[in-house]
Amino acid sequence: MSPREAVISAIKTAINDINETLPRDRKIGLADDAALYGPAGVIDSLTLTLLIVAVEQKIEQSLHRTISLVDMSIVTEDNNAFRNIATLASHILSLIGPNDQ
Amino acid sequence: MSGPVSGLILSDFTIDTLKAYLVNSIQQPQCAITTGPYGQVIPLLNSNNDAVWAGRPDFTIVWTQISNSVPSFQKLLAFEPVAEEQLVKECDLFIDAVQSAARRTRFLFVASWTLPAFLRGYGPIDHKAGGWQSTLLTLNKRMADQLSGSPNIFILNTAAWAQTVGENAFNPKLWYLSKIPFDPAVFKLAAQDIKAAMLACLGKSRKLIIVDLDDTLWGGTVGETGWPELNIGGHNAAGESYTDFQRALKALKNRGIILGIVSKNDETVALDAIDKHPEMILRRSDFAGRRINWKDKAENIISLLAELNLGTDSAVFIDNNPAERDRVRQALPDVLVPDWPQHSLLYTKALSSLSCFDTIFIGDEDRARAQMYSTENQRREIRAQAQDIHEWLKSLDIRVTVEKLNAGNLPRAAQLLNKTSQMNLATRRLSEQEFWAWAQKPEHAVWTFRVKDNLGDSGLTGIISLEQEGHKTRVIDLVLSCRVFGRQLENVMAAVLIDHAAKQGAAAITAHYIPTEKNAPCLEFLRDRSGFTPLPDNTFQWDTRKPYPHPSMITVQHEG
Repeated sequence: MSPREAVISAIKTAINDINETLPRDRKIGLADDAALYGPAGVIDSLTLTLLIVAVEQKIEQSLHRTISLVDMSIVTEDNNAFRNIATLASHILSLIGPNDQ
Repeated sequence: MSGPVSGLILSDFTIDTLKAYLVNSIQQPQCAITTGPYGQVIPLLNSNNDAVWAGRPDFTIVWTQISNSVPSFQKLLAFEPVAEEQLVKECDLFIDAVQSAARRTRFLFVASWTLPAFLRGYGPIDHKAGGWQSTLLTLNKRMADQLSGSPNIFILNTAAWAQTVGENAFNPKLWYLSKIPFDPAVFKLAAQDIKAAMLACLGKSRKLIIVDLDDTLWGGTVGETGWPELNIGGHNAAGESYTDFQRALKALKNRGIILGIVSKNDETVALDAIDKHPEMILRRSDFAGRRINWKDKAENIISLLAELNLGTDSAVFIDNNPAERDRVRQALPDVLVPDWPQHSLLYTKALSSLSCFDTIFIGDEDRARAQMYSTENQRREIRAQAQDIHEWLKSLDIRVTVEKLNAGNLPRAAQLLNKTSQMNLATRRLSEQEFWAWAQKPEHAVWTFRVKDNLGDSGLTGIISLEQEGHKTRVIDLVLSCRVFGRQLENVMAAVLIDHAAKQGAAAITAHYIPTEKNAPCLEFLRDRSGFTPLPDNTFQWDTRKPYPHPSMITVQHEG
């Protein structure tokens, strides 16, 4: 499994956990380009907080890397790492660093 | 109860995650949840008129942090001196508020207070007087003691959820970002426990464990090796684990859970093992019934449940074989078939983790239930030998004690009202408090029935309640435990209520049957065996000018 695949797998595991708390018609999609947070997104700010912490934990468990996604500058309109799974994975890979990719 | 149960959550932190798990999990019962405004716990608990209490929630959850409910605990956390009397006084104010709120909801759950494991306090002396942990234990104990007398208030074990989740149970990031102190996994466990507790409150706890034998109750295949070669006890890990699993089953039996066997085996060979193996903890008399043969297990379970007068939703089936588990799940979806660990070393943990036996009351009848089923087997054997039912009933020497509902018999009566599904006229589900309040109204009367015979004491197994309206008397509840069906006790109960109605001057007594999926036996009694006259709309009537034929083989004694 490539680092990108491992990161995406960790994100989807976190989303599966979050989905247990959501009603059937509001579950977060698992496609790489399914919208997460932002103008087209499906999650509210509280769910975003839960997702941030859950993804950090899953990355630590599966990749043994400690990252911090608690930085609101990554969810601005121009630079929204949480737009979808693919953008979030790219952001996490940038935090982990090129040597680990 | 139809539709979702209504719940109210009052908390001093963001509690949306618990609400989300309660509403969106598929675990029963389905819940409709409202939350009180943030940080208003004590005022809302003390408020009679606030909108949060509108509609009287089925259950209320109160989950607070100790430093908010007992403000002086903040000083303790700052290592400032605090008088214990002050902490106790504040704790008592919280307890008073909880007790006050319990009148506005059917059931109230309070989450015990806990502290994150990373708060070390004073270290090695933290469990001594004045330490954080010492004080936490004292205040939790005080709350538990003072609330233990309230029949509709129950404490939830927050520390157990945190312990299960481990290091990440308390999450500072979630706290600073959203005022959520716990990881979502803690709320998930809390929701599971709350739902299990609600099922217990609604009388839907499981009553029966049906176990397989080979590689479930013991290690090995008895039909191949004979009982001396079975792995139970001894000095090996697997053998010890089977012994412990049997001990855990026996412990459940001691608190009123019935045990049964469904196994594909030669019955004689299997019973030899149960009777003769020196390391067996469970013996033949521990099982209320068995089906040991080569038939389909689902078919055997149906047959065993019929013998025990229990429904499929009362049963849990434990089998090490995944194919048998799947078969029973497919055929009998209401039977709980838990996933079972592959290795026997994990059996006891798996059994102990089941929440389906959670209960809100344990009485003498519960503790004696297994013995009652054993004596029921003896009754059946006598019945098979007796020429007719009259000879059988006479030989049993049945004695019934009729007693008005009182504070002493209320807990068991409320339990019976909420758990009985088959011989139940209206299937009313009321908490102890609600049942008591209803019974105290001048137009209402409630009697309980205790049943004994020469084989044993079946305990409080029947309830009737009446409503008087002028010259009309209506039977509201006619409830009889499935344990004592078929002994003409229904007719005794009818005789008692008709006698009372006649003395009150009622011209007639009516019983309106409210059908459910399970109470057909009650209709069968009213229609075919009660002697009542059928009227339209599932109503049955007796003219009280006619005396009711009292079963002559049963002695009735009135008390109180």
